[in-house]
Amino acid sequence: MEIINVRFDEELISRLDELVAKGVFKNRSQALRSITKDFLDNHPQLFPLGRYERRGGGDMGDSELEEVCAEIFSGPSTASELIGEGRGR
Amino acid sequence: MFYMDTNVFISRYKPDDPYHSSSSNILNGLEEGSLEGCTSTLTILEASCVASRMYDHRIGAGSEEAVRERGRLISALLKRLTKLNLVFIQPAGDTRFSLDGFSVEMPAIFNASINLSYRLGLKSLDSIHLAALMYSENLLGREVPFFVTGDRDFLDRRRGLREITGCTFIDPTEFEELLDL
Repeated sequence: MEIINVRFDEELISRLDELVAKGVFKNRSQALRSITKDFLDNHPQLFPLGRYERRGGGDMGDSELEEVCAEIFSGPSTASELIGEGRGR
Repeated sequence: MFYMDTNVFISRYKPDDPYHSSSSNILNGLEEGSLEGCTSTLTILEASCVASRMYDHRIGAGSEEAVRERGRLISALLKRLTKLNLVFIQPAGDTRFSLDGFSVEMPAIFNASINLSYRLGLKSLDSIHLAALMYSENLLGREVPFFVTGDRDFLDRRRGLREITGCTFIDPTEFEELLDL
């Protein structure tokens, strides 16, 4: 894990400490990790591309891409017709 | 330099498509840099949406894992698209649309598409591609003599479209033959 230094105003620290005192979090560090993770997980629109790779899903190699595309795009509709559906045809 | 419609890119990844072989050759040329193309930024959106839609349709996205896999697929596909030797046409800024006392700022490409609607009865997204084509020569400072597409709606109207855009609408196989790829 990497350590980062962050400045907080007293009011935020006081509210955080209150949650630690209540036992919601074990300590400030765990509280901040948990709150940050919740925020990032609940705002996927902030990561429109590569979000899943950042989560550890891994890149898709050429052969896997060919295989998955062949599976999802196969069928009687042509590529042009599939795109045409999205164009309102 | 040519304009690439989205279906050419998708055809490359659809082995049973009638234009798969020719589209693959065209994309190989774009990957290697022996061909230069352009397309609208709309192509990025269309490629993303068709992959997402078809993934849901064929595989389903009901589980967290499926959602994750769909995201991997879209990212992988868009990476291949954006690494091609393509210029993505996106006229910068807004322009003013005014009519009979009404006036509103809108993306320049929308305004150009509205102008095209006075001359052609096209679907809105088709119209955005054509507007991007018409912008491309000014933005690139080069001729874009071919619009390569597998779309029958465009190809069946190629004569009229050529009169308006000055561009030849051609399918991937015709383009492949023309360039002897």
